[in-house]
Amino acid sequence: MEQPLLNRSEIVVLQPSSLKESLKLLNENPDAEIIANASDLWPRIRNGEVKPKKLLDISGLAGELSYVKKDENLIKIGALVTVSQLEGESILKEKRFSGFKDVIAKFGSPQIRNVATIGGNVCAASSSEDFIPLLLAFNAKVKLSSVDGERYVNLEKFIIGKRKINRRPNEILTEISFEDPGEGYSSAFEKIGRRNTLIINIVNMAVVGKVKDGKIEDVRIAANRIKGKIPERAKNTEEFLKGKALNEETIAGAKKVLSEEVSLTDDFRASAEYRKALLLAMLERLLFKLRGEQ
Amino acid sequence: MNAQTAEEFLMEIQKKAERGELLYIGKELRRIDDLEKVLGSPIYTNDLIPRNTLYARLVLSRYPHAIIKNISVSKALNYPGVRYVLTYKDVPGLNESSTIIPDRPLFAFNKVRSTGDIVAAVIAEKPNRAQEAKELVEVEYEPLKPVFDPIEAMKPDAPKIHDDGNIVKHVKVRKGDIEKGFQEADYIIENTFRTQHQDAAPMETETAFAVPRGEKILIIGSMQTPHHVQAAVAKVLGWPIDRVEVIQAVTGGAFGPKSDEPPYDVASIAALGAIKTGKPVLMSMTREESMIAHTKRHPAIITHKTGVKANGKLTASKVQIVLDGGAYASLGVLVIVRATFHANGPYEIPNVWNDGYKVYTNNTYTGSFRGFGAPQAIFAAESQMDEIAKKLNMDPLDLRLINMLRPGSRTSTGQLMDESCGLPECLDAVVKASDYRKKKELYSKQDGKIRRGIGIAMLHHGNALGPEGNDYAYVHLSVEKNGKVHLGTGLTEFGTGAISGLAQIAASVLGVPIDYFTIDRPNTLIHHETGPTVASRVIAIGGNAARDAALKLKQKLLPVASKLINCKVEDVQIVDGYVYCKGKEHKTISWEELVKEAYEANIELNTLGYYMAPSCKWDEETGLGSPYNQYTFGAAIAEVEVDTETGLYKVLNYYVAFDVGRAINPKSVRGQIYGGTVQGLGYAMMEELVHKEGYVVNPNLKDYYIPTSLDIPEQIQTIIIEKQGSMGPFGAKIVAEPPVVLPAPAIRNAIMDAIGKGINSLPITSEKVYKAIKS
Ligand SMILES: Cc1cc2nc3c(=O)[nH]c(=O)nc-3n(C[C@H](O)[C@H](O)[C@H](O)COP(=O)(O)OP(=O)(O)OC[C@H]3O[C@@H](n4cnc5c(N)ncnc54)[C@H](O)[C@@H]3O)c2cc1C
Repeated sequence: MEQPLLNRSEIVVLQPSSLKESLKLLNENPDAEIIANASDLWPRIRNGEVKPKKLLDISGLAGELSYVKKDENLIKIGALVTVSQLEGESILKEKRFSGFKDVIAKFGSPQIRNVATIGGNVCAASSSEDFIPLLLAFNAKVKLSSVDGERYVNLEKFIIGKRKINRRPNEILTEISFEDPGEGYSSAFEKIGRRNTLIINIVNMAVVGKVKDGKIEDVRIAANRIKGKIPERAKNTEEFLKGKALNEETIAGAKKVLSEEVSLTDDFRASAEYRKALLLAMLERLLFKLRGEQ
Repeated sequence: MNAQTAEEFLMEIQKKAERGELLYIGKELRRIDDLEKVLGSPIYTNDLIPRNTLYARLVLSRYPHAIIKNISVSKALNYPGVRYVLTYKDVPGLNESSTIIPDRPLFAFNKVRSTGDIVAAVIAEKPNRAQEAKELVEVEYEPLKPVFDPIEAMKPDAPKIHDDGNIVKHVKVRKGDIEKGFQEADYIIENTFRTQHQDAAPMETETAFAVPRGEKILIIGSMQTPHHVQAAVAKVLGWPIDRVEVIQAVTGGAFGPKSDEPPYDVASIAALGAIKTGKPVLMSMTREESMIAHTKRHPAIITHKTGVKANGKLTASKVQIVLDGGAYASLGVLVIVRATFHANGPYEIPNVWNDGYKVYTNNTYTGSFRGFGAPQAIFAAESQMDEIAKKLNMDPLDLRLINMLRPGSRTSTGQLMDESCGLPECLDAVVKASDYRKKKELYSKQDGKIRRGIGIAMLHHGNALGPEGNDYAYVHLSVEKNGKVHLGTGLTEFGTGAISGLAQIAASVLGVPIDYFTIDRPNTLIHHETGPTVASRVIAIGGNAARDAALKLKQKLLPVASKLINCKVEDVQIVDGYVYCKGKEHKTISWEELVKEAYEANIELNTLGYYMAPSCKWDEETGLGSPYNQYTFGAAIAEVEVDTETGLYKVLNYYVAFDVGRAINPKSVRGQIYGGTVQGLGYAMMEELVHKEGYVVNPNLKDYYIPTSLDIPEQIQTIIIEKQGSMGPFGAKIVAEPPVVLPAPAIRNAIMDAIGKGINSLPITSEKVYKAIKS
C-alpha cells in the first residue's frame, strides 16, 4: 500500500548537501523546521503536534558533522553523531566518561540508536531526552552556526523551556563541546522508566565529579526535572556536597537538600512523590558510583 | 462393504493413542506456515491494495457523553482529495454494529456515549487527505452528564447511558447456604481488588479492504470471525447475506477484539465507502483509532468475602464482580459469565454466593480479550488466597493443597471433577521445579534493601464456549489427483498455529505426512459458517471435526486400497504416505497411487467433517450445573526480586504447568504458554490504557507499555501435564487463553512474600510497590 511518508500534504523538503548550502537555505527559509534523522520530529508530525510547511533535512551533512574529537582540552561532538557512533568512540571509553556508556545502554532500541543524533537530542529539549542531563553535568556548550557566523551558548542557557531553545531562526546547531575534566573525575547516569528499554524515563539523573581520599572535591548533578519540566542542574545539592566527605551522613544531608530543591509534578507515568523518592535513591547510588562502587 | 464403522475405527485410533502409537500426535511438527511467516511473505490486507484505492479515516466523538445536534460534512467534502464522508445518513440497512445486544450504532446519530464512538468516516484519495479532512467535519454537541465509575453507574440516579438502566447483565452463582458457611468459619477475610483497561495491541490494527463487484461486495480483512463479519455487513447494507463475500486475510494478531465488534466497523465502513464511490476502499485503523475505538479488557472491581476454618478449610466465598463495560455491551455480556463462574478460583467451597455485573459507563467499550473474564477473576481469587494464608499464618501452598479441586471435588457451580482434573499434578510440578519450600524458607530470613519473594497462582478454565454459545465446527477435506490434501474451514488462523494443528490431526488419522496439506483461506462463499474462532476452541472443537472429515475420507479410501493391494479392508495400513497390507509390507504402494486409483474408480475424495459438543446444562438463576464439558488446569510460581528503596522489581523465574489433556503439538502448546505468559506479565506489571474523564490518555505504543524482551524473566519453565479430557480429540483440552491469567496473581503473591504487603490493583507498578512498602 501507499504509505504516506508524512501525514501532512504539502510539505516542501529542502535537502542541502553541505553545511554552507544549509546555512544559506535556512537563511532564505527561516520558517523551515530543521530535521536531522527525524526520530523525534517524525512522530510529532504524524500526530499533528507539529505542522511544518517546510523541512530542512540536514541528514546529508553527516560527512561534515559526524566527528568526535579532542581539541586542546575540549571534547567536541558533531551535531549529527548518532548514539551508535558514540558507543564506538574510543575517547569516551575513559572511566571519566562512563556516563555516556550508561546513557547509551538505556537509550531506545538498536534501531533508534542507529539514527538518533546527539544534536537532535539536545534540540528536542524535553525531559525525555537522556543526553541533556549528562551534557549539563559536563558543563557543555553548543555551537550555533549561521550565515552571520558562529556563536557558543552554554547548554544551560540554550534550553529555555519545554521544547524551547535559544536558537535564532537562521541557526543550526553544529557542535556540542565540553572541557575534559581530566584524570580523577568520573561520571555516571541512571534512568528509570516503566519498563527496561524503549521507554520514556520517569526520572533520570547524571553526575560528574571527583572524589579524592573519600572527599568530594567537585560535583555536578543534573536531572530531567528539578524545578520545571526541563532538565536542570541541582545546584544547591552540588554546593552542599562540595568539599564534604563522601559518607552516609553527607548523603543523608544531600538528600535533604535535594528534596527541598526539587519541585515535581504528576502525570500518568508517575506521581511527583514517587519521582522525588526515585531521585533521592538515584542520588545516593550515583554518588557512590563516583567513588567507584556499584 | 465390510469397512470398519467410524466408531470402530475411532476406537482403534484411541487405543493406539493410548499406547502412544499415533503417527503425528504429540510430535513437535513445524507449522505449515512457519517459513512464510519468518520470511515475511504472507499477504496481509495492506499488501493487496491497488492504486485506485481510496482510504478511510474515522471521525470519533469529541465527548464521552453528549447529544448530537447537527453534523455538517460540506467543508470536509470540499477538501482536496476527499471523495465522500459517511455518516449515519448513508446507512441503507440497519445502522447497527453489534454482536449480541443491538445497542451500538455503526455511526452515532442522536447521541454519543464514549470518545470511541464513530461519528463519521472520511473517504479520500490519500490517507493524509482523509486525516486532514477529519478536522473539517463539523459536529455540534450538547454535552450530557457522564459517569465513569461503574459502581456509581449502578446507582438508580446515575446518568443513563442507554434507555434502560446501566446494568447490562447480572450473573449469579448460589450454592449451599452462604450465611451458614460464614457462621461455620473461624475467620472472615474481606478484600477489594481492581484491574485496569488492557489493550490487546495486535501488531496489525483492525483492517478491511472492500472491492465493489456489481451487485456484490468483496471484503478482505483482518479478523477472527469472517462469517459474523459477513452477517454484520449485510445487515448494514440491507442486503441478503450471499451478496457479501468475506475473506479472512493473513491476520497479524487478534487476541479477542477481532472476534468482537471492531472488525464489523471497519468492514462495514469500507463496504459503504466502496458502494458510495464505486472504488475499492481500505479502512485500516491507525494505532490511535484502534486503541480508542476498539474493545479492551474490562477493568474490574472485585470484592471477596471468604470464610475459613482455623485449619485452613474454606467454608464460604462471596464474590461481587463489577466490570466496567464502557458504553456498549459487546461480547462483554458473555465475559461476565465466565468471570462469575470462575470467581472463586479452582477450589472446592461448599457455600458460594457470586454476583457478576457488566455495567455501562461513558468509558470506551470493553469486550472479548484472551482469557475472557478469567484474568480479572483469578487475579482477585488467587490474591485473596494469599491474604487468607497470611491471616492464618499458613504457607499459601498448604492452604491451596487443602482446598484445591481434585478428582471427586465439586466446583463453585457444583460440577463434579472427574479423573481428568490435573490440578494436583500441575501444582506439584511447579512446586518441584521451583524448589518452592526451600526458597520460601530461605526468603523468609532476608534483610537488607533487596528482597526476594516467591508466589503461587493456579486456575481451572472451562473449555471452549460452554455457556457462551453452540460449540460446533465444520472442517472440509478434499484430495487432489496428485495426492495433495486441502483443508478448508471457517475457523481462522491469526498466529496461534491451531489450524496447522487441525491438519496434524487429519494427517494422523489419514496416515499421510503433514507436507501433503495446504490450508485454504477462509472464505464465506466457500466455507460453512462454523462458529467463531474464540475461546481457544480450534483444537478441542475443530479438531473433532477435522478427525471426522479424515475418518470419512479414510472410509472412502480403504475399500479402494483393499482391492488395489488385494488385502482385507481391516488389514489395510496407511502409514506416513505408504499403503500396505498388514504383515505384507513388501507389497507397499504410495498414497499417490491410492488416490489416483480412487479417482479412476470415480470416488469423490471430498468430505465435510462436523462436530457439535454435548450441550452444557446449568441453571440460569443459581448458576448450578455443568457449564463446561471439560476443564484445563494450570499452576504457576513466580520468583521476584524487589528493591525496597525504589519499589522496582523484576521477575527472576517463572515456572508454569498446564494440564492440556493431550498436547497435539507440544511445541505449539509451549508457544501459547510463552506468549500468554508474556502478555500476562504485561498485564501484571505495566499495561494500562489510562482513561481520564472518558478520554484515553495514552493511545499509542510510546505511552502504552507492553513488555520488551528485556522485561521478561530469564527463565520461563513450561511443564505439560496430560490428563485426557472427555471432549477434545485424543483427549486434548484448550490451551491458548489460560496462560495469560496466571502471571498477575503469581507475581502479586511473590511481591507480597518479599515485602509483606499485598498489592490489590493492577498493574503492579514500581510506584505501587514503593507506596506499599512505605505505608
Ligand atoms: C522509539 C523511540 C525511542 C526513543 N528513545 C529515546 C531514549 O531512550 N532516550 C532519549 O533521549 N531519546 C529517545 N528518543 C527520542 C529521539 O530518538 C532523540 O531525541 C534523538 O536524539 C533525536 O535525534 P534525531 O536526529 O532523530 O532528531 P530529529 O527528530 O531530526 O530532531 C529533533 C528536534 O531537534 C531539531 N534539530 C535536530 N537537529 C538539529 C540541529 N542540528 N540544529 C537545530 N535543530 C535541530 C529538530 O528541528 C527537532 O525539533 C526515542 C525516540 C523514539 C522514536
